[in-house]
Amino acid sequence: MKEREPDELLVKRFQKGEIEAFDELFRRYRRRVYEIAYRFTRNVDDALDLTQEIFLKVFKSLGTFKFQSSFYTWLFSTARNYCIDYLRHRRVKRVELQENMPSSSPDYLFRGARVPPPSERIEREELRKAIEKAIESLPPKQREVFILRHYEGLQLKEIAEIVGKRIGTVKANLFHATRKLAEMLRPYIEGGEDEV
Amino acid sequence: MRCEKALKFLPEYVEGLMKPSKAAKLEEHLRSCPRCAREERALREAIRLASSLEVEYPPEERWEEVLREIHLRAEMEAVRAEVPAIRRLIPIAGFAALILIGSILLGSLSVHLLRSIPLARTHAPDVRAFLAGFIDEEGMRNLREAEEMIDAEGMAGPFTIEQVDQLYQPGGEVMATGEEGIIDALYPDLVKPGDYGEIDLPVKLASLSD
Repeated sequence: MKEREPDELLVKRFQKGEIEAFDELFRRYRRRVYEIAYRFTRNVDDALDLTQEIFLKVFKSLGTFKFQSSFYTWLFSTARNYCIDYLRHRRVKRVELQENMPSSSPDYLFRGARVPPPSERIEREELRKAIEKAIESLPPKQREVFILRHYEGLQLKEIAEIVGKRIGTVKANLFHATRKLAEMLRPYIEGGEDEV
Repeated sequence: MRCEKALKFLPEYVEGLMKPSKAAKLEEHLRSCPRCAREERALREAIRLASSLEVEYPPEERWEEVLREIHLRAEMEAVRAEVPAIRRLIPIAGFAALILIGSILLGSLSVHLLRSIPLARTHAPDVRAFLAGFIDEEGMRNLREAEEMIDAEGMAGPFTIEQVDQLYQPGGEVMATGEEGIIDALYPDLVKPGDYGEIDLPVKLASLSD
């Protein structure tokens, strides 16, 4: 079996003019970058567009990459920054559209899904829409912090560096986001209908 | 700890960011207060639900399309970066450059369109925004110069997005569309004979002035 070539060697090959080395990096990391983009856009087409923009930026910057960090750290940092920029400057209203669109296979959108009976499927679909709507309704700064924390699993310090804010501000945005999500998802939370 | 304070600190607690001593006091309160305990569960459940959505992936074949598009755009941008400013070209190429730009823009108009469509100018905000998506500042300056010259010559009416977006050969066949065509129009020294077949500019101009 062919041994996997280290990222750094691929970057060096690209810097020497071997464009094919970029293709290998793209194939290696496209899925992971797409996942980041999808978390921010919740839409396949937008996420693909963002992935393309991110890799185009990488293609243009790779020639001057200085190896001060690993390639993938730099790539994911670039991806996250690009997605945050997207979120702040392009508010795409997808929720209304998605509500009118039949979902081809909503159940596989949930981790550990089994095949549920029809009534449960309808409930799950309703819940999926509610969750997407709740996330979409968060202000960009709260949304980006929530995504970085709970989808990307980053520490507050890392998030603060990425979004260019103090840790206190990141915390405040995160807590506001959590409260708002709880509020919006209360009808779907067990025993949540009761007044608190 | 009172409920008001407990509710205030709950998000910090469920995120696991609270100091152990402070967390112990909050936990003590939660054991004795069903209302706050319910709110704690609601916050945890909201995070769990919001984090539970899986990613929907595109079909495999779309990845290769994305890669091709990246190469194409990178190549175009690299070429564009190497192109000398048309402002410097004009004194060198003089009238020939002006005629080429003008004629390619004019080439986007058919006689039928000129007569039947209420035209928007290329400097209308929507057309500008469309062009600005992929033409750099230099290109936009070139476009403005071309427009001024074309207007001054009274050579044609203004253009719509669709007309700017398509360049036609003399016979009416589309020779280039979209970004590629517009970039060629704005950077005429890149258009080489044979790129789009033979372009007979005098014939094209004559047909437009009929």
